This record gives sequence, C-alpha cells and structure tokens, in this order.
Amino acid sequence: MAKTILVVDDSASFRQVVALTLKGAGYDVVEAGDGKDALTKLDGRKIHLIISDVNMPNMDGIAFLKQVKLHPNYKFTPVVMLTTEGQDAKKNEGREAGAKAWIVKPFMPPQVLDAVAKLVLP
Amino acid sequence: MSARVDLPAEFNIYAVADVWRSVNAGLPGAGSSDALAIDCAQLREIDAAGVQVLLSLAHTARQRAIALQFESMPAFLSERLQALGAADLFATSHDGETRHE
Amino acid sequence: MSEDILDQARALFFAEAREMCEQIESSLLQLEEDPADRELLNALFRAAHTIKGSAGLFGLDAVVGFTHHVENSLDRLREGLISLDISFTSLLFECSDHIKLMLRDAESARDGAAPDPSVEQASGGLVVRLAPFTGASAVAQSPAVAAAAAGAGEALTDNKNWHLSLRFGKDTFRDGFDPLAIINYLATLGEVMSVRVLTEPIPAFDALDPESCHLGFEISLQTSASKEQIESAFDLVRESCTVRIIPPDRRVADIVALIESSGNGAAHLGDILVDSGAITRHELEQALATQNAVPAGDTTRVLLGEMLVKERIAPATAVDAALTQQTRNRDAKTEEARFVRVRSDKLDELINLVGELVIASAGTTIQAQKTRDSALVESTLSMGRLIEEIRNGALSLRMVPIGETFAKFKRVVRDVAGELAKEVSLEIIGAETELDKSVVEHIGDPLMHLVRNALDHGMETPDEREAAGKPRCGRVVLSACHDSGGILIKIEDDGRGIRRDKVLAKAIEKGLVAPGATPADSEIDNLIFEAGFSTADKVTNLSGRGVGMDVVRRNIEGLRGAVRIQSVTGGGTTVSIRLPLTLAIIDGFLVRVGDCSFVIPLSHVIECIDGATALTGAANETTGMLALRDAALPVVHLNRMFGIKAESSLRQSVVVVRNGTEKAGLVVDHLLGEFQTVIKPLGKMFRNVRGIAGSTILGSGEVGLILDIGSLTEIARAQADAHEHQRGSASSSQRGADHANA
Repeated sequence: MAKTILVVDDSASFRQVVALTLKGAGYDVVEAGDGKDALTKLDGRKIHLIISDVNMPNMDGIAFLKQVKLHPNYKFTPVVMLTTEGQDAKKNEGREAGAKAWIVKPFMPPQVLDAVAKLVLP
Repeated sequence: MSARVDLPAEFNIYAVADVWRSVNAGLPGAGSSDALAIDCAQLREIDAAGVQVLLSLAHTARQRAIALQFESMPAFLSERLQALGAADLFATSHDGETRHE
Repeated sequence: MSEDILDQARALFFAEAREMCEQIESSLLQLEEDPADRELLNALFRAAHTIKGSAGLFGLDAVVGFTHHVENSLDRLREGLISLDISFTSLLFECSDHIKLMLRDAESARDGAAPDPSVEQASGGLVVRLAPFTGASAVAQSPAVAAAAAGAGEALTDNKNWHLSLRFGKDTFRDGFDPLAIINYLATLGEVMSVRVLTEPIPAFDALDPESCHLGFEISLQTSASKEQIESAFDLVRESCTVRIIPPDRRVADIVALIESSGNGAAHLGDILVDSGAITRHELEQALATQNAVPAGDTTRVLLGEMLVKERIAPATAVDAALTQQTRNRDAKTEEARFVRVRSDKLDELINLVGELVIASAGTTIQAQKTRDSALVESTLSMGRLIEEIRNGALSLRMVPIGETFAKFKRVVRDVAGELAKEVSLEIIGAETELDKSVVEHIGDPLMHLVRNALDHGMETPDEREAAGKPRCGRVVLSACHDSGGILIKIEDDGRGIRRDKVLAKAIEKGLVAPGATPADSEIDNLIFEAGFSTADKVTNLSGRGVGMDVVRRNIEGLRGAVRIQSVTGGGTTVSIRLPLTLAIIDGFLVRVGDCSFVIPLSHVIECIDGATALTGAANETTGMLALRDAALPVVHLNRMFGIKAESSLRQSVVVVRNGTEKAGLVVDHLLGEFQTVIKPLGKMFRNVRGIAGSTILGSGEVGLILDIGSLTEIARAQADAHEHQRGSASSSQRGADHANA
C-alpha cells in the first residue's frame, strides 16, 4: 500500500512540483494551501509524513504543527518543515512545536525524495 | 493456560503502547513453562518501534523460558528481522535458518 | 656549487642544534632554582622546537621524530599541564644527550658510516618513558606503537567495508523518526553487508516503555560514497542519533596518503582531517564543542586528536599523519615570515569597495529575478555567494590578535603595583584571539583604566591579603576569547571585591538610588559605571584623574560593546567586556517609518513598545514625552525629524534606546526585528544629516539608514530640558539620572 504524504504550501506551483515528484516516486499526495486547509483535508485520515511550509496565510506552519500534533492520529507523524535560510528563530519555535526535520528552500526535487526516503519506509 | 496476542495490521509507534499493555498483562511469569502465541495474521506493516517491542519480548521470553510461537508470520517480517541480524532471537518461529555475517 | 652551500648549511645546522641542546640543559639547570619561570620554560620549548624544525629541512627524520616527543612534553610543561620534578628533569637531560648522540650519528652517516641501530632502539626506549609526560595515548607515540594501536582499532572493521555504529536517542520514535527507514536509505548509497541490532540496551519487556527508543545498530556498508555522503543519511536525525562512521582500511590508507601528499597548509588539525575526508565538518564541530565544554587550561581537557581516536571518530593513523602535517605547517610558517605590510587606508578602501560590490550585486540579483530568466538568476546567485566570500575575506584582513595590546599591560601592572606597594602578577590568556584592528585600537584606553582600577581599588596590600588568608601576591588575569559571534574580554582580579555598602551610600548620595531602596548585589556592582562615581577613600594619583568608569562604559558602548561587572566580596572582581568582532558588521534592530527603513544598533536597544499610547507633545514637534511606567521618557518622532510622511492612521511604536545613562524613545511606524548587516559609510549627501551614522543594504536591496543613537538621545534630552524650563521644575522629580554630570 502506497504511503500518503501531506504537502502544505501556499504556492500552488510549488505544491504541484513537489506533488508531482512524490507521485512519480509512488507516494500518494494530499495537497493543502495553508494550515487551516490542511486540518480540514486531514480529518483523521492516515498520513505517513507531513511536509509543510512555515510562512503561509490564515494559519502558518508552526501554528498548524501545534494543532496537528494534538491529534492522536498525528502526534508521532514525522514532519518536515520548509524554511528559507537564516530563520533560526522560526526553527527553534518549530522544534519546540515538534518539527525535527528541516529542508532549506530553495531545493531541487531529488532532495525532497531523499528526505522522504530517510523518514518513511517504502 | 497459554497466552495469545494478535498483532494489529499496522504495528507501529501508534500501536506499540496498546500491544505492549495487552501482552504485558498476559505475559506468563518465570518458570511457568507456559507458551505465548503471537498471531501475525493481520500484520501488514511494522516500524522500528514495533520491532523493538518484539526484540524486548523475545529476549524476556528466552530469559523466563517462555516458548514464543509466531503464527502466520509474514515473509516481510522474517526478512526484516533477518536483515537486522535479530532473526536468531526468534529462532523458534521458523527452521532456525539464520545467516550470520 | 649548490652542493657546497647545502654542506655549509648542514654544518651550520649541526652547530646550531648542539647549541640548542646546551640551551636545553642550561635552562633545565636554572629551572631547578625557579621552576615557574615562564621565560625559561618558553626557551626550553623553543630550543626543542628549533631542533625539530631545522632537522626536518635536512631530512633527519629520526631526529625530527624523537624531538617531536620531547617538544610535546615541553609544550605541556609550558602550559602548566605537568610539572618539572626530579625524574622529569633527569629524563630531559637524557633526551638532550640522546639528541646530541643522534646528531653525531647523522653527521657521521653523512661521511659514509652506517647508522648505529642501537641509537634507534634507545630512541624508542626514551619515547616510551616520555609518554606519561606527552599526555599522548595512541596519537603521538612512536610510529610503531601508533600503528599497532591503529591496527587494534580497525580490527573492529572488516577491512573492506565502512562500519557504522548508530545509537538512537530516547525520543526518536516520538519525533517521528523510523530507524528502519534510515537503514533502508543507507542501501541507496551502496550495499548493506550486514546489520546487527543491539539487544542489550533494550529493557526487559515488563520494564519497556514502548514509545521510547533504545535501539542501536552496527552496520557494515560497502560503498564508494564519501564519509560526508554517508553522514548525510543522518542529517535529519542529527539531534536524536549518535553516529560513528569508521572507514575501511583501504580508505584509511588513502586518507593517510592524501594527508601526506596534499601539502595542506591548514594550521588546525581538524581542518586537515576534514579536508582529507577523515572526519566530516559536523563531526569536527561536535568534537570541538565537547572539548570546549572543559575550560582551557583544565587538566581534564583532552587534545582533539586524542579524543577523535578514542571516540573512534577518526582512525589513529590518519590523526597521526595530520599531526605530522600540522607540525610541518607550523614550522613552515615560522621558517618564512609570511607577512605583507599593507597600509591600513588601502585596506579600508578595499573593504569599502567590497561593500559597494555587495550592494551592486544585490541590485543585480533583484534585476535578474525580475527577468525570470532562471539561468541568469542562478549565475547572479552564485556570483552573490562569491562576493559574500570576498567580503568575509576582506573583513578578516583587518583582524589582528589582541596579544600585543595585552602584552603592554605586563609592564603597566609591574609599575603600578610597585607604585602602590602591592604585589601583583598578571596572567594573559587567549592572546591569539583576533578582532578588528579598529576595535583593538580603541580598547586600549578602557582596558588601561580597568586594569589600573583593579590594582588601585580591587587589590589589597600584601599585609591585608595575608590577614585575609590569601597569598601575598595578588593575581590579575586578562583574557580574551571568541564567544557567540563576538569577543569576550575579561579583567579578573582576586582582590577584595566591590565594597557594596560604600557604592550604595554613594549612589544614594548622588540620587541614583532612592534612600531605603535595596537593589540586588549585581545592580549595586554595576552602579559604578554611572557618571561621577568614585569610591576611593583617598585620591591617589591613579584614581581621581577625572576619568570615571562611566567614560569606560561610554567608550565600550561606542564600539557597540557592553560591559558588566561581577564581584564577590573578599574574593575579587571580574569585569567582562563584550565586543563585536568587527565594526564593519552590525547587529541591528530594523524599524520602518513611512517608506523608509532605519537600523538601530542592537546594543543600544532596551525595549520595544508596540502601539504606544500616552504620547504627549504637539503634533508637529520633533520631540515629545512618553509616560512609561510612571516616568517621563523624552521621545523623538523619526518621521518629523527626517521629514518623512508617516502612515498617520497607524498606531505608532516606540523603541527605547540607551546611550550611556541617557534614555530616549524613538517613535516609529513598524517594528521589524533583529538582523545582522554590513555597515557602509555614508555617501557625501548624508554625511551632514544629524542622527544618521551610516547606511546598509537590506535583504530586499533597499537602503537602510543606521541611526546615530548618541545624537538622537541628545536631541531628545535637549528638548525635554527645554520643556522642563518652560514648565518650571514641576516634572523634575521624574528625572531619574543625575544629568548635571552627563
């Protein structure tokens, strides 16, 4: 059974590239435009990995992370946060909220697959 | 009386606490020469947390001389245990064909 | 012809080396009289060092190898890690004799005689006896011993494959990581030959917390990947996993060969090892952090090479090779004085131009991004990175060690102590610490004042010290070290400490503290930095020269630094000065007024008030007052000051800044937060604008102006005073500081 990955980012083009990359590697992908949208789309369903941007409208990545970690179905789900360089303060905030893995933007599609492979068994 | 535990379909970090609780409740004491059957019929996937529970269980069972019986162990699990060099802990469950490096 | 010259040089070397041996012996004899004489200890070390360095030039490897151990032990002696007792002294005499013997051997070998094998044997014997003094384990022993130790270490590996030891942290599962996924990922790098899970650390079933991870793995991996690439498999779990990566034998041999042949000129052992691929940058940083957890000079502090070998981070043979290379580098550096004198104004001009270049490059990048031409964007970005490196390189040209500044205090301490009839010894730590030349130039005066102060006020007379149960000779330590992006200079004395009762009495007298108030000890200590403070009972010719500690503080704050004082009654005083590494880079607080961005040097910022109300003052005046916690704070409206159209509907914010003892508020539209930036000198146009100290380029490519807090607080204060005169003395009680002194 294919593993499902949630991709949260306010840039539609970014989501498309990441989703396409992941689908190409055989993962199922759920896309969301911001934290609120992501919570709605999750709705308790099985997710193996969350990839989320930090800066987003409505509900940013950190707030989303705090929410999602409260849900019993997601408290141990690995989260990869996407950040731009030099956001150390945000990183600490995210770390406290439970994000242990980070990818620095900009990155190339193979880097996403690499990170996913280190976190989720195929 | 021999105890029996069913492993869930997804034996992962979300399930380990429940499984541990039910196994621990039915775990025979030392020297009781009882057996513990572990039914893997439903098991579809396992993560390192699940493997760790099995390792601890196998080790403790050996110390207490409890016979562990894995029922319908799926190929992927025996392969995975073998890949981790841990298959010999579960030697009772199959022919004891373990490979050492 | 050149043969002749070489022969002459050789002859000269043998004569020199014998002289050095004699120097070793005479130093040893003198040290028996005075075992703590630093000059003698240094001379001793230098003698061995010189022999080793020159012997290398003439290919006398046996002499180099042996003297290396002697030098090591002398270095540790010099550092105070070991002491010179009778057995060590006589061993060193034997070593000196042995070096002379080796020299003679080498000289006669030149004349065709066969080298004496018994000499080599004797070297080995002495090296073994020296081992306890060199503090070396497998690292710096004779090559044979080192090789044996290395062999033992690598017997753990199966020679052909990489060996990985993984220990996952307790929270691994809870953090969402699955060690099985990572092991699976390793298979993408090569072939996983075997995995063994460690069952011993896993608790018995009834004691198991199933959500905590107790897993450890020993993995054998066959791959052509580099250590760095293998380590990247663990980059996401770095915080929750301890990783040891041991290269296969063949790799170790490659690494050793690489170190030996590369001619890597790096001065640091770690850099040589990283460059050769023996360890990764991350492993080095971790090892250094562990090492630095023990303060320098502490005997339990281990050498980097030793630790790397002990923790199985690096193979012993590689560390050995790197150590040899490092020594070679050091020697090379001392052989040729590799310095070029450059006029500092040329350097400043270069740095200024580089600043312009950074700005131009930021502009180019923005233009390129507008074109959406990805190739163009890519190349401007890589150009930007190079320019960044050029900037860092240019800034580092201005860095000089603080040692020279420190050294002149030896004399000062001796003279001042003599004048005051006190006994004081000065210790200097971290003389090699580098900082910006302009900072070094400006720190001399404040340091002089603080050192004199320590001797004059802090240090007791020898009799007083004896009565207090302290050694008659007092101790002052000047130290410098790099600390969180800046430099930390400390002046420590073991004198009587600050007399808080006197300071407090004085402060109450000066109106700095309300009568009856009980400030914390540290607050009282730092009162001495307030204007017009001196608690000396009698005015000596040292104190009372009209320069107070407030001037020291102002000077240090002028360098964008900060100064703190800590004192233990009867135990001594420590003054800590924190300075930026360079004046060309600033930690700033970014604010926005209308469409302009301003940068406030962070060291001046006390607090920020978002959406301040209770601002008084006429709507068109530049300055006004703000009621802040029952006190009136003079404020400057930056929009009016600089004629900027502010967003009038907006709630305004206030940044409270401090210059010396003066406080003022700056009224702005938006608080944008902290950032680090390069200071650019102002163009001609702005040079005469009051309140602006410089400019900088923001990430967006837009120019930000750096505010001159000194003149702004002055403006605020002057206006506030004018108000006060108009309204009589009604509000004078709100004025905290004694501004008559300011």
